[in-house]
Amino acid sequence: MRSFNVSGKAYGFLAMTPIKPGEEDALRAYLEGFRDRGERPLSKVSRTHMARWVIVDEFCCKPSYKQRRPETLAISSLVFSSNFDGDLDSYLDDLCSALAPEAGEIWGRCIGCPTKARGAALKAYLKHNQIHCGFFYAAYGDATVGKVKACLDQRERLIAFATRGQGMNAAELQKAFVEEFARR
Amino acid sequence: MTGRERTQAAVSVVSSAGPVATNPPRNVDGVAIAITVFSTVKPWGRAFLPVLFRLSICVPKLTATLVRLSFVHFARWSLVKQIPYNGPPQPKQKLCYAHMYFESNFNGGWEEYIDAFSHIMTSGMAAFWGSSFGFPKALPVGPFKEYISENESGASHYYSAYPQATITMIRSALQLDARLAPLKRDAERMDPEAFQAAYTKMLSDVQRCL
Amino acid sequence: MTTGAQIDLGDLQGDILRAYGNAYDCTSYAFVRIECAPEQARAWFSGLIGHVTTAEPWTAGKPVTTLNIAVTAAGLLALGVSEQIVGGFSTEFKQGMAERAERLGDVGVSAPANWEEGIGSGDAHVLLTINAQEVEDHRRALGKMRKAMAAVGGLRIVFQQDTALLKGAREHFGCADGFAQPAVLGASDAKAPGGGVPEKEGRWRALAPGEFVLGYPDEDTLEDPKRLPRAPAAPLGKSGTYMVWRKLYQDVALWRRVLRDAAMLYHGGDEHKLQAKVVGRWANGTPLVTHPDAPDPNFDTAARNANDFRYSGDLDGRRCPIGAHVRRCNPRDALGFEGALTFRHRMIRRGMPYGVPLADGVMDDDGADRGLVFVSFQASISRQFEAVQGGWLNDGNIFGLGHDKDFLLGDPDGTGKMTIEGDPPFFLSPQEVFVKTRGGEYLFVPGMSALAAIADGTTG
Repeated sequence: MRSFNVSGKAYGFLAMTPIKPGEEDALRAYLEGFRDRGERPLSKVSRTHMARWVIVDEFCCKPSYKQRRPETLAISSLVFSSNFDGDLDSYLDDLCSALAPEAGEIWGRCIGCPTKARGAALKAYLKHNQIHCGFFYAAYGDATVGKVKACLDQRERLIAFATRGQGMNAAELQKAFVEEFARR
Repeated sequence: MTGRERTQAAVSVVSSAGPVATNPPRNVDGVAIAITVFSTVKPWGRAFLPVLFRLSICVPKLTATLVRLSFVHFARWSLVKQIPYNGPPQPKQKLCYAHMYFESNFNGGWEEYIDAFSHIMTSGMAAFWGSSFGFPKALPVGPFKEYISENESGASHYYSAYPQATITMIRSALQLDARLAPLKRDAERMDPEAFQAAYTKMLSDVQRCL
Repeated sequence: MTTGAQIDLGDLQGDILRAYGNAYDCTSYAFVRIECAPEQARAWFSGLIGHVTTAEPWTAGKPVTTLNIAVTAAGLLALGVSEQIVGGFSTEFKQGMAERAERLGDVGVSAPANWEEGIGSGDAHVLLTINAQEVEDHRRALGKMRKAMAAVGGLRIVFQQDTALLKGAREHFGCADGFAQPAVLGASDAKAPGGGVPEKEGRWRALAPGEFVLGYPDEDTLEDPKRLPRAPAAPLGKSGTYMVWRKLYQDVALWRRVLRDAAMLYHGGDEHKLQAKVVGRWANGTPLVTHPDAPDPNFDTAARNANDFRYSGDLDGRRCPIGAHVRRCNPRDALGFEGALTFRHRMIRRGMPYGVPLADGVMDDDGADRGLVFVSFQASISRQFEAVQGGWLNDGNIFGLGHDKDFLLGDPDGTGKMTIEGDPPFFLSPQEVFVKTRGGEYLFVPGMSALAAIADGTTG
């Protein structure tokens, strides 16, 4: 089961937690508020490549679908999906301590979440609500977040260097290259 | 506004390609776009999809086009056969059908993305969604876009660790790193002329990464 | 296959599927604001319809002048078309170009806040396009137009741009322009190789007319013959099309200086070559991909096979840079998958240069207003114009160029460079604002029966 969640070093984690009745609007407003306040709480969980929180209140079922028994979600749910590098347990340890301030406002609004929404208790709750991947695709699964960021930065610096290096003589070029790339 | 209406409003803003800087919708972070879709799976799909998933892992050729298209950072398909239970007041729900969760983290406009998948991964799209109720064929593109749009849920918050980077930029950066490593290591002790020749060769080799 | 549908040329306005041609070397674009009641505006409109040039072939020689009409969303409302009907037009048309500025790269000096007055502000309602072969006829036609407006009252020209062809049908940077157009089934260019969808063995397939004219089968209809593309409700949808109009100022002196300075470091050739590398064609129109070292002195832009070339033999960009302007605008088969990522993003272009040329060799700006009026026709502004402008010109990711923007048109807040592939590569910089957007509008060009319905107030 676990291997389906993995591609190279990347792991695809999904937790679907039922939202406490009456809390859906407040939860949505809280999550949407991060953007409005310019906050990026997931940047505190440094092994996260890309992640999302999505509130799902129904399964779409139109008459034209000819589904014999219309079926929707009995209760609105919060989907938390993260694509990160490394193993699940240590990632959840990081997440559950780094996001301790926010977790109460997020999973604290979900049914079954421990009163103190952090640490081992929160981790167990998230694992309990995990939905495993069937097929997980990662375009660069072998690279950690740290590696991706370092390489992106290096690429930008090489472009700038290659542009200003035009017209330098060999000695100037070598000196500048060493300063920019070999000594960092 | 229902969740669906909210998503429709958001999707229409992202529908054309190019950066959307001020007031972008919540499923966008920089140039990364999130799409989240739940679809209800027909009884035969419940058995078929796990086989398809396993094949996709074991037969790399099936995902070769996805790799070549270079639109997608991460994507996943998961089969939800039951909703995890957490005690009251969560109602106990035994699902009649399995539901398929699909998420993608991609670059480019939403319309372009669906266009590409409809025209180029036509059989792939049919394989993954063919067993979902209401799936029109992948082509023509119009009804397929409407289908995805109807079944899409809008993210309340979306995060990318490197929001301005596209997949091709990341792949280029990683390839570049491998090629640059020997020169970084040896640069200081080379003759200036030898260095210049090696540097020039390196640039020629990596120009598609820059 | 339904794409063989006969096009009702009498119902279609002219210059869309078939260009009027370079004999018409003066064109004026007059944007009119309706300040009178809708009934009066419709009476004026009615009077114009008889003079509108259709797409029917000319049997009695070329008309002395031509007239065509387009409307903005605000214009439709001012003419008394109901809000409900206007609601059926595309989102981007209703929002207007100014609101879509970010995705188009109209930022900084090109931002709508800096646009010329009267354009992009919601004031423009009806666009009258007048083409003439002689300056005198042109003046007379404009005079007649003003008189007709004055007779009604409450109609005001909020913005007018006069344009004229330059010698050799070039644009202000010196490049031959406007001769590469999509091949459309049922129109005169249908069989011209190079204008349509690239197929195997060097063949080309013309595009379905519905990609450019509403009410006809488009490329999606090929997959499902019962589906016609989304269009406003009848009678407005049939034979109509969407129009993009942009005034683009060109800083010719700046362009010449940057090229001259960069050419001093460029090992591959002189500034003519460097310009060809940026554009993707030599100044006389010779495609760089077929002639990477020098232009073909006999290249004829009007020749049937002038555009018969593709990029699959040059995927590394050594002949024509991957980020070259014409390659970005129409990648043909460059993106692989037999053109599947490109064929739904084509546009018909009918622009005209404006302003007096800057004399050869002059490297300092003279303060004159000169540039290009960009005009395109397409069934979907977002899928065709905006996808190219925003995704292919204002960004480079689809080509594997990261955030490199088109060197000519892109704003310099991208990476500011263009890679000219070679051994070794050359990095052309600095990217400056060579082209500034001075204003623009999204418009709809109704078919003839649609024009009549608007004039009669019977749009439903």
